[in-house]
Amino acid sequence: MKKLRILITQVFGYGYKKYLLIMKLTTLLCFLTLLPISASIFSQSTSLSLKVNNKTIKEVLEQIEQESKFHFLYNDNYVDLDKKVDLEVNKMNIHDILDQLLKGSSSSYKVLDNNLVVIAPVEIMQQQKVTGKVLDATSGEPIIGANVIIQGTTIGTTTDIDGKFSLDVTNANAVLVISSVGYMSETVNVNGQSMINVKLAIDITKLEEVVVIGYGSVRKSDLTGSVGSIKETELKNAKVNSIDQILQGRAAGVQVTQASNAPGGGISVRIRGNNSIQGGNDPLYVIDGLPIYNNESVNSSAMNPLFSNLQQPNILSTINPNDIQSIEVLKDASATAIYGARGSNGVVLITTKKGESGKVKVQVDASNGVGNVAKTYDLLNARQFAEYNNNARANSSPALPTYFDLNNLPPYDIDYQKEIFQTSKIQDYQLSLTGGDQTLLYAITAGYHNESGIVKSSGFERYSLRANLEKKANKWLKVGNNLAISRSESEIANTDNQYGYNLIMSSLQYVPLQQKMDQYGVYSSGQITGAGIPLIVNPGYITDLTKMSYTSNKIIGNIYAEVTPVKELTWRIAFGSDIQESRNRNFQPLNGGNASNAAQSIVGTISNFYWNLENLLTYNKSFGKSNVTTMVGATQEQYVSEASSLYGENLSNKTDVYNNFNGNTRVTNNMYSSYLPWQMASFFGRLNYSYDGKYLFTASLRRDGSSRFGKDMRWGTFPSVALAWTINKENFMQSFPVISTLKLRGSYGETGSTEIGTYNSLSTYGGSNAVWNNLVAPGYATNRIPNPYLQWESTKQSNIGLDLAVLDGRIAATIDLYKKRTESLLYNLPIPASTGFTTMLSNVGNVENKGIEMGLSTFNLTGEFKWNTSFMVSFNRNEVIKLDGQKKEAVLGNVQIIGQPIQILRVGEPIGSFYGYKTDGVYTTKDPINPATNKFYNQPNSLPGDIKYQDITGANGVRDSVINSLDRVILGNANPDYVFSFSNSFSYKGFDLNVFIQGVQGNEIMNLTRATLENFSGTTNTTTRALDRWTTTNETVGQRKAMQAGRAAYGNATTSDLYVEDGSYIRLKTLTLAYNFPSSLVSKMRISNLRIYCSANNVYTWTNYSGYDPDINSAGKATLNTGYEYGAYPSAKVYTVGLNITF
Amino acid sequence: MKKFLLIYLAMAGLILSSCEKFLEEDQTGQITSETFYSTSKDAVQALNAVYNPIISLGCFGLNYCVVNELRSDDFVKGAKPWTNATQADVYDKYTFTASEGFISGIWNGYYQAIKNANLVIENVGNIVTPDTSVIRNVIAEAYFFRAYSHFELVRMFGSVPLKDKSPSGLTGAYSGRASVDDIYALIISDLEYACDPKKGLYAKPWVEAAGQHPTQYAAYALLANVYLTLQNWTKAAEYAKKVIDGGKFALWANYKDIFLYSKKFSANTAELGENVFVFNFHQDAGFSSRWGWIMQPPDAYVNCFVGSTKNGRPGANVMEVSQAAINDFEADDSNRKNYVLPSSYTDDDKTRGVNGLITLDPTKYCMKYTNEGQTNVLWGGWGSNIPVIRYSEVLLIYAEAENEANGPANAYAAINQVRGRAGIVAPLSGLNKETFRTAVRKERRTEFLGEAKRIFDLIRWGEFYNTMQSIIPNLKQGQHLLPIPQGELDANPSLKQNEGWN
Repeated sequence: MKKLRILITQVFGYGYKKYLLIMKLTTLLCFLTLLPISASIFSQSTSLSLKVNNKTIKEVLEQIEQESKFHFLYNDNYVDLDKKVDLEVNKMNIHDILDQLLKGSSSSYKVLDNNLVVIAPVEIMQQQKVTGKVLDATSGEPIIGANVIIQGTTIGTTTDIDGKFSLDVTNANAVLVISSVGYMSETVNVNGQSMINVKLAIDITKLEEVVVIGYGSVRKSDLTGSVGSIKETELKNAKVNSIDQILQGRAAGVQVTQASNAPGGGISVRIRGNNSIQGGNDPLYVIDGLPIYNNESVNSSAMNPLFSNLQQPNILSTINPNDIQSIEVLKDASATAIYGARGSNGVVLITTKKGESGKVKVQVDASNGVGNVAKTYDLLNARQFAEYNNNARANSSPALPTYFDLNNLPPYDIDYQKEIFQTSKIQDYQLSLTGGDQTLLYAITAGYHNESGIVKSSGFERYSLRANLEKKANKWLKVGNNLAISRSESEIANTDNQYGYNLIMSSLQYVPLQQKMDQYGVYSSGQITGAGIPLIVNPGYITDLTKMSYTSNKIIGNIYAEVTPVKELTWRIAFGSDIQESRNRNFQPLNGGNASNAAQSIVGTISNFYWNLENLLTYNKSFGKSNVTTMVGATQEQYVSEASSLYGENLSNKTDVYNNFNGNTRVTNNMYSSYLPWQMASFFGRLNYSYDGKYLFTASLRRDGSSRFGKDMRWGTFPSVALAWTINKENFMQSFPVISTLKLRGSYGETGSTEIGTYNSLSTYGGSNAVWNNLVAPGYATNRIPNPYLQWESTKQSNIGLDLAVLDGRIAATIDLYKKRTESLLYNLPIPASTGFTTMLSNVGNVENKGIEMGLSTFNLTGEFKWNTSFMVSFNRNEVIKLDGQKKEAVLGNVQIIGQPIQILRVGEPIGSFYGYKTDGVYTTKDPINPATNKFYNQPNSLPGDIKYQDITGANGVRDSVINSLDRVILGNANPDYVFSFSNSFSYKGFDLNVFIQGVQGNEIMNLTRATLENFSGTTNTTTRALDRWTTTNETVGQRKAMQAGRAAYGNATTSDLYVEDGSYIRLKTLTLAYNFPSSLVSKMRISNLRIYCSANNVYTWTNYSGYDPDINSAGKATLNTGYEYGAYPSAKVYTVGLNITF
Repeated sequence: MKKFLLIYLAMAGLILSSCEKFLEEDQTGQITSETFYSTSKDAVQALNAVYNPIISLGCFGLNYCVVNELRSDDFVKGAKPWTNATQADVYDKYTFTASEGFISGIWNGYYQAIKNANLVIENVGNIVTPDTSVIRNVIAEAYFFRAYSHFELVRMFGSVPLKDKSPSGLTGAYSGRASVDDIYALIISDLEYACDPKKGLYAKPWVEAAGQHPTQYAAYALLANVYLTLQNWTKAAEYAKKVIDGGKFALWANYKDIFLYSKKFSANTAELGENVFVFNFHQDAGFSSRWGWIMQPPDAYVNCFVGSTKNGRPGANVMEVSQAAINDFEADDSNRKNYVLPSSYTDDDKTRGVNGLITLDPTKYCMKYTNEGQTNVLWGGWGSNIPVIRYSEVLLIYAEAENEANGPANAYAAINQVRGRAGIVAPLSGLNKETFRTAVRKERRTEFLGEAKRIFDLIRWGEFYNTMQSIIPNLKQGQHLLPIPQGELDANPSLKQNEGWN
């Protein structure tokens, strides 16, 4: 269409209207193309005679028109017909006459049917048809939609689904410019050829990349906000089992920490720090436009208290990471404010694979891997333990009789870590079918993933199917769907967890002198009364007999229609839904290793239903150098979560008995059911304006209403503005050709966070029972003080960014500086208990995050041997600015593993600050004695071999020689100074190698695993550090003495710097080597691409952290207690080989 | 294009108009004040919620006993407490601070009960039902509990915030202390409502709960106790007399029956026996008390269970009876002392114990709250009845008040009834006002040993500082009251700490 219009304008200029009145456009087109054949026999046979003197050509033509049946078509603006000529012809045909007449002028002519003669400039008349094909230089596949344009003109076309094009060229010497997004442009001289095939090389600089943003997409060059983008090529190298794991080290400003290394286990993702104390801090995940509600922590404890103590599987692990085409991480307010009340924590947009028009592409990927525990603790062996136990009993006050006869020890010496670890096996199979034609695009994928954990009785299995279709019904209507179905089954070993039997802890603590089970199959209980060894649940009992599982069926998808009534306007309506049914099961049979006195089981189901209706209207128009895109939209959504759970005992010892609760089962009062819905309604709009591609402006506004807030506080408005200046497009920059991109961006906006759970603003009634005549009688009263003013947390964020690329994009850097201030923090404000309530969920407190993010990518070598590098680093500083007006700090008692609080929330300090005593070695017999008491000075109750704590301050702010709670100080915090990643890709011929290094620096971890093991009570097994314990004969070793009973105050279980460790690490995370067979070889097998690869995950870690893995946060998603470790699932070294075939 | 715009705008309009309704929280499965109060059964459930915070372990179920008994001269910290050792120590030695968790447990429990009672008073009257007698009883009982809870708070903490309305947001949340006089005025007016013959509690036990709910006489008895505390002897004697003259109560011949789990409550007034007002606990964890657990020795399943061994749990030896209290028992106090302080106990399972190391003097344990009569006891379960006011207290209130008001002449019958049941052979006679006073005080100590009444008696008799300073020499003035919980001071700036606890 466009092409035609250009042509007509060229031929007829602006005067063509007069003639078009009698001539339809289509007919003209026919004439023009049929012309060479018909060549008008009439015109050849008709002879004319003519004689003119000193007349203009125009006058001559008018004379011919009068004297013959010929008519002329021309445009005065384009052809100069005012030249005076003399002409005398006799019985000549029209061709000869016109040849003579136009000789020496810049015009030429063509005789059409109906004796119509067109006169036009020569170059237009010399048309020539050029056809050809545009192919990808690497894969040889056709490039669809490539632009083919005649240089210096706006005449051009685009390639079809076979990469073919056809273009009329008016000049045999014309030069064609062929370009396509993501490829380097090529220029070709036509030189009279009618058939031109072009191969385009992939453009490494990716400048015209399209970036998905909220409710739309923009070219990267038009982006005003701060958006990190992860493309399919990068995803290929990351062999992960969950989509959130991909984010680690692949986008600046994103910190990813494992909550559990268990297969399918949880992960915590933080974009630009922790904003919220009590609400959620997880980013909003949006899959193909559908927001996914991922806040299990809010979810599960409120819904299913029986399971709140159990490890929660990661909901995102139910989605197949192989389906992903790209991931965008929205960071600054300009990018996130369009998600309004849910944008505070950043937004992760996930786009799944779409079909591409072209021939059917079938891709098969199969990989197999094995994994082994990366690191274990060095524990005492049987003899060392016996000595340690004897020593601890002898050191007790009063001394306890020793138990173990060192010359006659039991015949067992078991490192129970070995009993629980195994070699894991990982299988992953993926099949995808993609393709399409001009009207239908499809991508159908299937995946199967099966992974046994490195800890026995843990594993993860996932089946997934996806069908993404898009049909162009007609010129103005497009309909489509994205649909994914998955089933996941997790076997869970209870790890990472302060409740119940933590398997890792029991394997570390179980006494090596005890056999796992006797000849009758009864598991030992750990208890040795005479040695003071308490009952510890036998790790073998847990792995062999107990069962904990989580299964989940998930359907997630949407259907949509896009109506384009006129070219500039698109109306999109989409309805999406996310349905998840999951079931938790937990079973503990009665056997020697069980601490309780009955076989018991918990079963629970959770059913979540979410729907979202979205209407979007997008309008795009260019006016001269200005381009405007506006989008307005509205969504309505609802989430309903229903759960129920039962706890039963007196069960049979058969593992599957939880499927068969019966009349004999004693169901205690631990039963729960819940129904928790919420709704949101939103209106939003965005305006993008660009002038000449140089000056870019974006403004957005969203209004959100949420049912979860107080009645009067339901609605909130979230605005944002952003400006960008593409400096490299300015004229004055043309003298610096080395700079290919220089863009300055700035933005400001407000976003919110809504994670407060359902009904929190209402005064609901809860059970409050009485006892009548030895029977429990139900009672009900209000269990929450209403807060009608409850509202979202609001975050104000400003961002300044700079994008720089030099040497045609071979070196590209992005720097962002930001400052976020979160206000109205949700906090359980302590209120006077005389109201009958102790806390009220309120909006108090402020938190600030500020930081710098940098990304650098270079193409070091681009020849046959290619080498790309990318480096990212992000710094974030987190600070609590205000708590609730009155309070300046709150000691956090939520983690009770060692019986003492480990953290503090204090104004001026970051969230996650560790709090406790500083130590100063141990007391020895050489320490000075207070003559007045005949005891040590600060700790009169301590004896040689006890830990010496530092006297920091006292009641009046001065040291008082008393060790008490006033001497506690901040011992570090869980927030890293910076996180970074460094990725290198090499390719040579068919080989490619990817080396991915990632790290975290400057954070502390509270190692509660070690705090528990190294209390030196002598009652449970411990690390070999116990060999360096204080003894009367060796006082210089620095570790405290072993002591079983009678330890004085400030003894064993005190939060101190002894357990705060540097969590910094640098990790060679993945190493992938692949070989692509040459297409000449595989094409004979009808394979278009064959790739084999092997990869190693978690290859090596440089760290001083003494636990299994510094990449750990046992608190998972819970922000308040972030950064400690307790009995965490260890990480694995995994080796994988795989095969990828494309047909 | 216009057409599409119109459709879209129409649709947007539709969404807008239905928005507010769409955003209402769907309260399916939730109970709110709008929906809750509709039948007389709901009224009873609302009333049950008043009991819950009181009988919880944080309040009357455990903390109340530890805090009040160990602060008195009746109990000392157990020799080998194996749990709650910190509390045993700090309350015994008065080294606790305002941050000690047991104090806030009591404070929170009673205020929650007051809040729940206020909910009943404010809402139950609106229920339209033919069961008007139920509604009347429920409301009157809420007044009774509001009075009882304020009475406990004012006795323990002195002047405290007065709450006669359920909270609405933070309105009134930060109110400061009310004067002690105002609090007692509320207590008396609430109890007068509760015993009002026209609108108050019925004289007969309420059939719905078969005798355990307070009756009109419980309100009289509590009023008698309140007036006794205020040293209004005439009124105290008058209200105690109303209970005695009502003829509904009698002392059980067997002292043991008072506390037994197996002793059910009855709607039959003839079987009310001594229960004027009692808290009943369930043997299942969650609704059980721990009074017996903290008083009993740790190394045995002391004759807790008839015909059962190795079930349930041993005691925790948090507290032992002081020698002074033991010495106050008279030699022929056979029925009572032999039950409360048996000279030996049967150790069902000698192998258990704590490390098999501890042997204890069997005579120091108050064995009132055993598990006897419980079957199929879950770990942690400790059901028993803990009296708040029993008939013998009414008799002794009468005896004390009558003596203070008019001398001993008309007071002998009451005290001798109590002594007689205890097994003491010789009745009291021929005493003057002072010697009778001494006798009644001693009688209260022995009769109510382990019922957490001693500290309040010492305070109202003015004997607190004399008695306790001989045990705790550096006891400060004002420490007869508990400190206001630190968390409460932090949360409510209008409160100041009690004297002696700064």
